[in-house]
Amino acid sequence: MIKMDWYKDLGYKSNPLEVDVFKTNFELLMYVEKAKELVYRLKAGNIVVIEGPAGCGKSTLLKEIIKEFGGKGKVIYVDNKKIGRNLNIEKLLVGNQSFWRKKTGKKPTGMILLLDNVNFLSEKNTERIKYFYDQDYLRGIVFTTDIYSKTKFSDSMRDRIGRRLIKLKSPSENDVVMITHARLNNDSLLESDTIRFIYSLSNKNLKKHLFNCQLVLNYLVENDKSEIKTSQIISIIQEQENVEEDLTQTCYKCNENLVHINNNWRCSKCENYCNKCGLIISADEEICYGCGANLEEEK
Amino acid sequence: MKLDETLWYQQLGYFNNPFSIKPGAFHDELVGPQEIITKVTQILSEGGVCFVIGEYGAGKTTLMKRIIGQFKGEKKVIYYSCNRKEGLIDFNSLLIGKNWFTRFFKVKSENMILLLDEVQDLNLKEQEDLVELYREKKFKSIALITKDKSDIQLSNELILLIENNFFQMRNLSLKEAINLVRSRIGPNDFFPDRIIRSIHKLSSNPRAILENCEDVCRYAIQEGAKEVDIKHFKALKK
Repeated sequence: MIKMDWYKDLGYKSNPLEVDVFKTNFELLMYVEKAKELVYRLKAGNIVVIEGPAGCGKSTLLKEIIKEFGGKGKVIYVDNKKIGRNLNIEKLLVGNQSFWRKKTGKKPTGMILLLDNVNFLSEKNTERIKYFYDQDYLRGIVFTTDIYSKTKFSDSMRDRIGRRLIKLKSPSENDVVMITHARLNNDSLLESDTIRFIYSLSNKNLKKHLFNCQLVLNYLVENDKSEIKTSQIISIIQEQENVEEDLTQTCYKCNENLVHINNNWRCSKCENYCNKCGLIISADEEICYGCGANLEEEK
Repeated sequence: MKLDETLWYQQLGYFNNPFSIKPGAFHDELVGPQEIITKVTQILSEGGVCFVIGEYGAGKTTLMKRIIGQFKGEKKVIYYSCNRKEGLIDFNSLLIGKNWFTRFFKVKSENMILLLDEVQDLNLKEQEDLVELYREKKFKSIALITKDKSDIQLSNELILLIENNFFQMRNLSLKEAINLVRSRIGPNDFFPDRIIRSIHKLSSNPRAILENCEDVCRYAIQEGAKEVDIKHFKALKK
């Protein structure tokens, strides 16, 4: 495991290679034009999809949007990778309101919804989002995904998105060198060639690259060295397992593991559903209205 | 870094995007098949059941918003989009009014006009409940809306109630397309009719027309043009 304060030994107050973009405050170095496009699309009330491979900067773009629109209580950011697949987006939008809004039943209007990693979003939820968009509760929406064609969006949602698709590519080696140097305040801790080599071992994933750079710098600090051989870099990176945890298969309310039935993700603790087709049913129903199964027998 | 620039429509003097694709963004406007609007409104006023079909972006939800506007103030219209539901739709709960008294005593309204959008997932049990409440006069009239008739298996009872009241929303004629654009931006020299004609040739679907108009106007403003011309339209096609 990485020593959490390796950067302190190198004179930094906070981790300059932090992987979570929401914990950093670095200036946007790539995609400035794309960020401007996104700001325009949201102001004009469009639905946009950002498509690009893991670690190419999708969340970084969303962070810029939060900076632009944040502070007025008008932006909702949800990372679908960190919430359960059974999340009801309607409850999230309405339930997130203040005490008085909940009491009066008043829904917010003109909100901006940023949904990260929508590969995990169900068709039902995209339909609900569409409803809130059509009724102007949501002014604009941004979805991010690695492959748009693989998302479970309904056809009507795809029709609303139309050609509002922003495609991002993996950053080039030169971009990565520039970003890494900028993160390290241009301190010559890592040579440009070393940065390129680390990136080549990171599957063109910037997040993974930054994490791997931390591993290398941690090794240098721990062993009081200023240089490292390529063979050593390879062994350090290979040792480290991917620590990213997939939380999508647990219930967002109780963390219980979800059951997958007929394209529905259900929680056996929080939801009452038909074991055959996965449809939500009320506790007093005797027959499932979806598939006709006898619910009494199932019990 | 400044990401916020003056928007093209603000430069033209509009506060919001005049080509918004949101249904009923400009609620007193519904350009298109006037005969459908008239007939649907008439059926709903007279207590009938009708079924509205139309492609994506053809204006189905906008039609519903227009109808809500027509009956506004009477507290007689319930609009419900079935895509929100998780589980069975409880029509009885839709009938309970919004004030504290009706909520507390669960008083159900009567003679309501129900506009049911996105009905493709409506199952037979829900259709049965719907017919029952219609017969009990809880619902005075019902409009069902979806993309395609074949998307939903209608119960025999509901088919009998609908009779011949099936309406197909269609795409816009050139004249209607020009009217739509003019209703949004008014008569102005910046966006001449000949460009609207070219956009209409590309697609006659109302939503597609609005999207294309937005992009063409944006290109023109970005280029500092005083009028949208064919060059900007070609940029859109690319």
